[in-house]
Amino acid sequence: MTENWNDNALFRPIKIGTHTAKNRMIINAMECCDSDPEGNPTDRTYERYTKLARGGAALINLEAITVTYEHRGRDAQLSIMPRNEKALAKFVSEIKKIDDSVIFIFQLTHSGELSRPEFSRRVCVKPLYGFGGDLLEEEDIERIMDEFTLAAKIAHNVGADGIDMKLCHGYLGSQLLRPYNDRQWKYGGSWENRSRFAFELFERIVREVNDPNFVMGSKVSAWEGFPGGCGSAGPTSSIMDLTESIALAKGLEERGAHYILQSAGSPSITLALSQPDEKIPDDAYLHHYFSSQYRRNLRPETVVIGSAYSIFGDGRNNLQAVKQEENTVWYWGDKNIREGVVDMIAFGRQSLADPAAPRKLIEGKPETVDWCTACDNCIELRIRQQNVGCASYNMPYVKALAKIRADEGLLAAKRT
Amino acid sequence: MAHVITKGCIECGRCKRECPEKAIYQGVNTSVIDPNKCTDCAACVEVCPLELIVPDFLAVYPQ
Repeated sequence: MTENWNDNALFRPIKIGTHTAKNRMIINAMECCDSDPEGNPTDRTYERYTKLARGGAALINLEAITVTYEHRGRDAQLSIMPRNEKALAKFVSEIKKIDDSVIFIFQLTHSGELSRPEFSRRVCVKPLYGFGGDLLEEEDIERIMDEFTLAAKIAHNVGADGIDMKLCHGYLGSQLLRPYNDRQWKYGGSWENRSRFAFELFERIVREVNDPNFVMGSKVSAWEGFPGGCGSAGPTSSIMDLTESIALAKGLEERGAHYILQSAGSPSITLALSQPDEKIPDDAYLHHYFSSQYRRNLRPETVVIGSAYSIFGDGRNNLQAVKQEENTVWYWGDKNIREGVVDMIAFGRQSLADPAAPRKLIEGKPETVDWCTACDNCIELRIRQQNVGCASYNMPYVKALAKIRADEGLLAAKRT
Repeated sequence: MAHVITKGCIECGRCKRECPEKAIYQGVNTSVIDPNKCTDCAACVEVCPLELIVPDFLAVYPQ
């Protein structure tokens, strides 16, 4: 790492499409379950994003916002349908007033087999053991593509700078892409069929939004980490094979993607792979490998954003065999950007622990950051369908978690 | 003498990060202070968001 703090590569600007990101730090989409019953932002949503907008990150990815309330993973999930347009326009306007240099994009999602039956309808492309759901037919997928396209147009109308098409973490976009989706239909079986949803939808959105300044990209799971998941060698294979993961990124790039947001795992199945935790943090390094493969295979102007950086913090983590000063988020961000592993890094859980972490780093004050402990208490709140925030540093959420554990006991399983 | 973490710990991990002696470890559904390593510096007391860490002679709910 450079001797001079200000020379850290994290602090350099970079182009994303026609926009300029003022530094290399972005806020990952974090579902925080605090919408009103119509899926509109509430005071808590405003409070969170106000802090993030003041926090110094170059880009904020609005937590996975559902294109339909009929199928969703969170009871109080933000949604993007015609009924939400007015509220979202006000929300974007207010966030932009705080800092209009922040690139504000919406992550669009459909939960598919991760839709919660308690308040929505679970659907699937091929029943997965332990999940299931009503089988989607071709006309259903076409309707869902209409919903995504409409959502992207609403995002554009309300002033968002772009969208992130969610093709990761086990939601519908990744369910279709998986080798496990070997059902013989228009959207299953061959890679051409499994990638049809992603590619045709991307083309439709680019065509119908028709704005070269609208940032387009996708968060992807390079490897989901279970047999037949994205990035595996076949419908029942546990062997990692990134051929299709790279083909997906290249195909999106050919269709106008300005960035690829790398992730891995499926938090409902392989949580510690998606979000390495304090006890088993080691998969964080695997993310570096994944982002390096995207970086190696994509054009220089396509921005590759890496995930799973929260675990590093200020180096006081449970990762072994490396000195503390060479295991911080600013060390790995700088090193990985300089060495062509990644172009930008994303803060997920860290953004809940301290929304101002990017600004404090830019100011050279890492000692003032509330560093994420990777305790995953925020994830527990999400699993319990509560308002989500940092239940280590942010007292309303600390108290909420303490109360729910006292009232309802411990979680049976930590899966989203 | 040592400090102890009383009932209600949510395992946020802040005490563990602050402990200069690395005396705090993961127990069963709670963090635990190793009395043989604890030097009573109270760094953990300062950061516990639920104020659950006390000297052992004051503990109402010892581990």
